Amino acid sequence: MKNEAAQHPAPEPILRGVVLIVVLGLALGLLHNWIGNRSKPAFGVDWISEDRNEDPFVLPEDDGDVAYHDVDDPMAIFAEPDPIEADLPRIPEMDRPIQIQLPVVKKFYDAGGGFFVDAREPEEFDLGRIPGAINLPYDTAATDPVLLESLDTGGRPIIIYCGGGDCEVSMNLAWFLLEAGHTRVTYFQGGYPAWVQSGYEIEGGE
Amino acid sequence: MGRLLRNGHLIRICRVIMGVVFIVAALAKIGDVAAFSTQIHNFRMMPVGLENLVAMTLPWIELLAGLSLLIGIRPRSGGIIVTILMAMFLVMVAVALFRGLDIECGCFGTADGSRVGIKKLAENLGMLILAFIATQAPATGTEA
Repeated sequence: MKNEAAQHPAPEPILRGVVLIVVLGLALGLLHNWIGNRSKPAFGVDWISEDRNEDPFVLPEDDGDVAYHDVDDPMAIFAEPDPIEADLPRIPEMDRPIQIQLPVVKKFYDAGGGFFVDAREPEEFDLGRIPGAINLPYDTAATDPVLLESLDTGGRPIIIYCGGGDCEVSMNLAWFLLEAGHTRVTYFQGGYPAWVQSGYEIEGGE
Repeated sequence: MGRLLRNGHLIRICRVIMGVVFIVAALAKIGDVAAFSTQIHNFRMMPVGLENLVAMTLPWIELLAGLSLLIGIRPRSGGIIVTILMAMFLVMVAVALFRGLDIECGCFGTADGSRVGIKKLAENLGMLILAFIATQAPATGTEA
């Protein structure tokens, strides 16, 4: 009887332990984040997440008849297009990421009209990249908002690419760039593998 | 089977394995809360407003549960938490897989880039079994 009791301790102490761990974990997590938000450099997040716009805007492949313009400036539709971008698909200013496909990316590359950002890790970037792209790994972007704000795109739309697939890393990086104040942020679904498969020019990886 | 589940050596091994796994996973997540929050968001399984709150507190609960298993302070309590969390992770990965989401698991924060898939599902199932064994009380005489 005594042995039985020793083998099966009453559920209360076990339950108390569970509650203790959960409550202590909650308290430590909140404290850690509170300290983080007051540190320099700051780390941590807001307690309540902001609603993130779920769906990216998908740029139509043939947008010849569609005129995008800045919704805050009605006169923008009369403005002369940027000479570099005159023959390129128009990338609207939006508050959400714009998904673009390989043909559009290639047009921007050929015209030098896009600011290419490689969201992959530095090791992958070094092995090969779209020429002219800068490396901005997602992890770096997540922890360095100042870097994102100071990114000088020269007025060109940002074209982010990653290692392929659904490329959610690119989309997440796009959200960070939008939060940092950039307005024409696109991401290239298909990413670097699609670029390489098409036989387009790359640099690095010698 | 019942006797095997209550073997003291087996229980101790399971506790150490799950303790180490949870401590490593928790530290990786604590190191980059923002990235972990995004990984939670990618699963699209909870109200957006709660994502940051979960991201900042869950890793600490994982850390304490892992420590309790490894050090042996209230190990059955820690084991129960780890088992519940593993069951939740298993369901989340299964649902993500069913919905065809191609996303990072986030199991170890940004420390590994493993993606949701059958392999991850099998890993989680294996760890759920280990976690369940870790909650057991060793039979007298088999305590490690």
